[in-house]
Amino acid sequence: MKKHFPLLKNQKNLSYLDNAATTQKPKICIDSIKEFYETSNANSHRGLYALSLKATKIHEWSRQYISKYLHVKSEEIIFTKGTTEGLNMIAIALEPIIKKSDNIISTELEHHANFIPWQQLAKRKDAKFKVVKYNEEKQELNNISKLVDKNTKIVAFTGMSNVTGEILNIENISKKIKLKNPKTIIIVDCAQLLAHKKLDLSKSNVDFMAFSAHKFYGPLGIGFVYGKYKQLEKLRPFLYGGNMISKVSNKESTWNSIPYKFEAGTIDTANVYAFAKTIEWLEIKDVNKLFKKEEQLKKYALKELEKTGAKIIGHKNSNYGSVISFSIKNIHPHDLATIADKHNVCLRAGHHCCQPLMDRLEIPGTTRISISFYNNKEDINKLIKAIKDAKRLLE
Amino acid sequence: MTEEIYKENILKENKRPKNNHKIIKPSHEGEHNNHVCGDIINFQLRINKNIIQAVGWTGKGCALCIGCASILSEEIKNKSINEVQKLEFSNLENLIKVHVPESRSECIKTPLFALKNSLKIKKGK
Repeated sequence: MKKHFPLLKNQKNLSYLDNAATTQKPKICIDSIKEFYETSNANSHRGLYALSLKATKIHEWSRQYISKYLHVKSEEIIFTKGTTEGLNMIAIALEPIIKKSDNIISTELEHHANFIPWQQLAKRKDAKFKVVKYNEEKQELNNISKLVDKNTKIVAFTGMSNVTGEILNIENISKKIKLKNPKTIIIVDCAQLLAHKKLDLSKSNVDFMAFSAHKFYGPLGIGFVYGKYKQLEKLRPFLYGGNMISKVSNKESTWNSIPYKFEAGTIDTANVYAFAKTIEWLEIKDVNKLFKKEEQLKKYALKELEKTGAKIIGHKNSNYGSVISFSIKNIHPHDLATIADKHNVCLRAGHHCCQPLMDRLEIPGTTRISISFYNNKEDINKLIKAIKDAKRLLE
Repeated sequence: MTEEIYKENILKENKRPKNNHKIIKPSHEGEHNNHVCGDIINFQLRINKNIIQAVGWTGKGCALCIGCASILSEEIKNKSINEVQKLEFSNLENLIKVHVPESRSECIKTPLFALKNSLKIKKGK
C-alpha cells in the first residue's frame, strides 16, 4: 500500500508509526487539491458565475459523499477546521442551555480537546463537572451512565482513545445514557475512531460527533461535525459572518438554513473535496479489509513488544484499535523517540494531550505507536531494533 | 560539538549522576517542571558571600535532562551568583559538548531553569 502514498514512496526507509497524530496522504488526496485549484477554484456558494457554481457543486458533492459514508443526512454535516474546533464550537453553542443546577460529564480517557471545553463550560455557568475515572481492569468507562441523573445536560466521551487505543461501545453507552435521561445531549470525539472503524450513524443515539480529515488520510486543516438535525435546529450559530446569514440590517440579523448557518467564512473547498475523494478511494480499496490488515499488524506488534519487556497500557481484550502506548523500564519516552528516529522510525512520546489520564496512571508520559494499513512487519521489526538499541545505550 | 546526543559523557552522567541528592542546610531551593513531558528537577544551593559552596539536585527526567543536571551541578560549584545568572542555553551545549536539536532543547533547559529558580528562592532559617 505504501506505493499509493507519495511521501512513503519517496522515503523508502521511513517507518511511520505516528498515524494517531496524523496519517500520510494518498496520491488521490494530493492530486485532488491540485485538480480543484487548477480547474474549479472560486469562492463557493457566493458567485453567480459558472466557475463559482462549479466550486459550489464540488463542495456539496463532497458533503453528500461524506454524509453517505456515515449514513446521515447531508445537512447534518458541518465543515470545521478539525475535531478540536468542532468540539469547542459545540460547547459554545450549547452554553445558553446550561444552568447552575446542571451537570456535565466527561472522562479521564479524553484528549484535552474533549475535556477542557466541558470543564470550562461548567465553570463559566457554575454547573457541576463530573469526570468518569479510568480503570483499565474494571472498565468504568462503559458505565458512564451511572453518573447520569436528571440534571445531566451533556455527556462527552471519546469513541477511541488516542493513548490506549481503547474503542468504546458508543451505541451501548449512549443507549444507557438516554434510558436514564433522554434529554442528555451526547457528544462523541471521533478524531481517532474514524480511521479504524466504519460507522453507521443512521440509528445512533449520539447527538453530536466531531471529526478531523487528516487523521483519516485526508488533508490537514479541515474536519466536520455531525449533528442530529433536531439538535442543530435548536442551536445558535457558532460563528458569525460570510455565508451563514440570511438577512442583516442595522437592528437585527437572521440566519441561513442548516448546515450553512454554522459555516461562517469561506470553507476550504479544495480540502473538503480532497477528503471526499480520499474516502471514495478508500472505499474502492475496501476500507473494512484495510482495517483488518492493521488489526493483524497490531497483534504482531503487541507480541513483539511484549518480548522486549515493554509494559503495555490496556489491550487485555479485543476492544482496542491499532494504537499502542507502552513504557520500557529505565528508558524515558523522549530518549526512545530520539533513538527510534535514528532508525528512521517515527513514534510519539509524551502525555499525548491527555494529562488527566497520565495522572490516573501515575506516569508523566508514554511511548506510543499507531499503526496504519500501509505499515508492515518490517516497520515493527525496526521499532523493536530501536528499542533494543535504546536498552543497550541507556540501561 | 557533536550532533550525536547520546555521547559517552551524557550516558555516563545519566547512569551515575553527580550531586544527585539533597544537601544539608540549603540557603536556596527551586525547581522547574517541563510541561512537555512532565520531567521535574529541583536544585538546592548553599550560598555564602555570593559564592555557591554546596549544590545538590533531585528529580526525574530523560537521559539528556539528568546528564545535563549532573554536569551543570559540577560546573557551578564555587562560582558566584552573577556567573550562574549569566548561564544560557549555548553555555549548556558547550558544557555537555552536544548540539541539542530544538525538539529536545527543553530537556536541557529544565535543569537550567530549576537552577535559576533556586537563586530566586531563599529558604527560611
